[in-house]
Amino acid sequence: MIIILFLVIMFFLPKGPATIISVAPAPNTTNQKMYSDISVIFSRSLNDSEKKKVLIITSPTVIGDSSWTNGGKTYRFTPPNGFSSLTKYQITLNYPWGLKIWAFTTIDINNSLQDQETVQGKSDQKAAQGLQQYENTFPWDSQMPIMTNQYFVGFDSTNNDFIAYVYPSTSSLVPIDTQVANLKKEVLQAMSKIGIDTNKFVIQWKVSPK
Amino acid sequence: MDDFDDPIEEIPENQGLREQAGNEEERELKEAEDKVNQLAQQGAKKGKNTYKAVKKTKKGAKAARTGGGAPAEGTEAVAAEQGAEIAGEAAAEGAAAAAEGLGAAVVEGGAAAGVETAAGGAAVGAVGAEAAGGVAAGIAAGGWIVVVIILIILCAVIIISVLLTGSAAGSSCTGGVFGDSSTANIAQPVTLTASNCTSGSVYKWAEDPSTPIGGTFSPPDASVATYTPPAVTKDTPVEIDVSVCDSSNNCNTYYIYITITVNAQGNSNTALYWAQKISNEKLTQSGCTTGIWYNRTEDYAPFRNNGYSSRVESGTCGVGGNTYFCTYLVTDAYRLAGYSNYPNSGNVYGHITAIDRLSGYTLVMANDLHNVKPGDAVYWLYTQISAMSQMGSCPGPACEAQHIDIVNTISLDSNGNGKMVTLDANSNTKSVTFTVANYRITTFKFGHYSGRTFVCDLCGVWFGEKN
Repeated sequence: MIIILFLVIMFFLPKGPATIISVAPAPNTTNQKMYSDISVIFSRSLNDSEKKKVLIITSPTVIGDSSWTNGGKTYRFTPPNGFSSLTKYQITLNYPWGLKIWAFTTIDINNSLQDQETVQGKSDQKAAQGLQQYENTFPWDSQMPIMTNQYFVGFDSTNNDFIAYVYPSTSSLVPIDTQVANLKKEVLQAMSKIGIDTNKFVIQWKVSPK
Repeated sequence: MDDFDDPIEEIPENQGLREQAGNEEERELKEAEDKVNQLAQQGAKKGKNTYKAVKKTKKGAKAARTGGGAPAEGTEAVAAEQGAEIAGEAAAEGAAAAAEGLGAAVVEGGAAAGVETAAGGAAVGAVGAEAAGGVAAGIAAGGWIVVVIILIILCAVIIISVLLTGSAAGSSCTGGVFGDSSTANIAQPVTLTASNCTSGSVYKWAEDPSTPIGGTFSPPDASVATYTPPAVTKDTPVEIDVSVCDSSNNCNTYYIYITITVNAQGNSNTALYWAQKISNEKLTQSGCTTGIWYNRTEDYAPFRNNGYSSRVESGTCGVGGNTYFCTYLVTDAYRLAGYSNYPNSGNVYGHITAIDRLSGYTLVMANDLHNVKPGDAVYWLYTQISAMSQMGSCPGPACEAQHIDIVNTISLDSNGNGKMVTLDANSNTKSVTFTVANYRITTFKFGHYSGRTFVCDLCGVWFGEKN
């Protein structure tokens, strides 16, 4: 009974200040991986009120997410895009009982295959998402470009318009203007046929007599 | 050709007619002659590929000229009547020949109007017969105005006939197209010949546009061309077309099927061969429920060549390791092909910086496909600001989307318009088709994510093959 009472009293008693046991990356280290977390281990678990008072500042600024592990004893800062290559970072950690400042330097990405591949993995992911989104946005693009010996039609995704080359024949007895007018009609028909709403896009016409 | 040209050369014979006419009549006659001459030249141009037909109707043409020229010689009505009779017969013969689909009749003054279809030829021939007879009779009667009217009508009919028949069949190759072999591969090209073609034809060789595989033709515009296919990993039939055109761009297309065979000995020294082989035989999906990417090769033993082994990776659904990255495909392909110094960097930026320092490779830091060929690597860097200024600080805007692939096929016309097809790894497809206009890629598909279309500030190509 006495023991239980003692534990209850201890639980509700104000706790003493927590100290920082270790930080990572360690102060003044070099060649730190670009894709690594900053972690801080306290001497004891912090309660919610104390956790809210922990603030990390990086210079240069890095966007990241904060989290707690190890029963509230370990603070973790994870930058999803990593740190920059070959850069010295100064870290300032504000916590309820003090201030911790230290610095580390990241590795040159050219010397870190692991970081390169992490970068590439993220890039490939975005590129694949981009490709998927492109195909969803422009479903007719799978049938592009439209090519015949009399015209060419291609989409320009940067300008969001179409480029159409028409090739009238210089040796034909039909006037060039007439040929061009007929070819433009053919182009518009061909575009409509694969589902392109020609009224929604600008078409840059280019005439290249052959 | 000499026979064909005769009528044009003989047109000045009509000079005698003008000497007999008054001023007004002379002017009208001259206008009529000018039209006839013009038509004769048009007819000559159109008639190149109907040489035989024109030759066959030449008799009619000469007779017509005799009839038309009689009054000018002062022999008056008798000669004119004879001329009319002969002209009528000859023109009728011309019409008959034309009706056989061979050519056109010849009008007064010696104009040879060659046309290209039976219908058109028959129409012109019939009119020629009527007109020639009418002209001769008119001359005999001294009715120059009537003659001029007839000639104008005749001109109009001929123009309409020529226009109606202008798009008919062009040059022909009676021997068709054949190759010195029914098979070919990258080490053993095939010689193709378009045989017994119309003189003066223009040739254009191409793979069937619906299934191009990226072969080349040398030269691409002659009756005999050498076709060199790209490397393939399995026997692949390909249809090869040759378009044979006349000077009016009327064309006939002939085709032949060639089987492209695997030639490991000849192919294995090209990066394209290995890229295709890896893509076709090893690269598989990781099995993720979302974002299914072709990024695993673990199911197969590695390829080994030139002391190098391709990577075996388990593939993951996320970003992490053990993935067959896009960079692996390029590095594996080049090193298997024997380019042992090819960069082994883990990301595209690393590839670019490394290859820029290597001799024997060309780095084109621009969206310019003038010299791109199958087997070249293409790097893609997307950013909203200038990539160059950011490349030293990856991750940054320059690294938001960087990707690399290998050109599998590229087919461009003389304006640099066409398409480029790539081989890709760690993507949601093994192959991507890009539109190319004026030698520039215009569809930047990889950068079209998160609702943003990124400008490709620094898209380019490096030529992996030794330069």
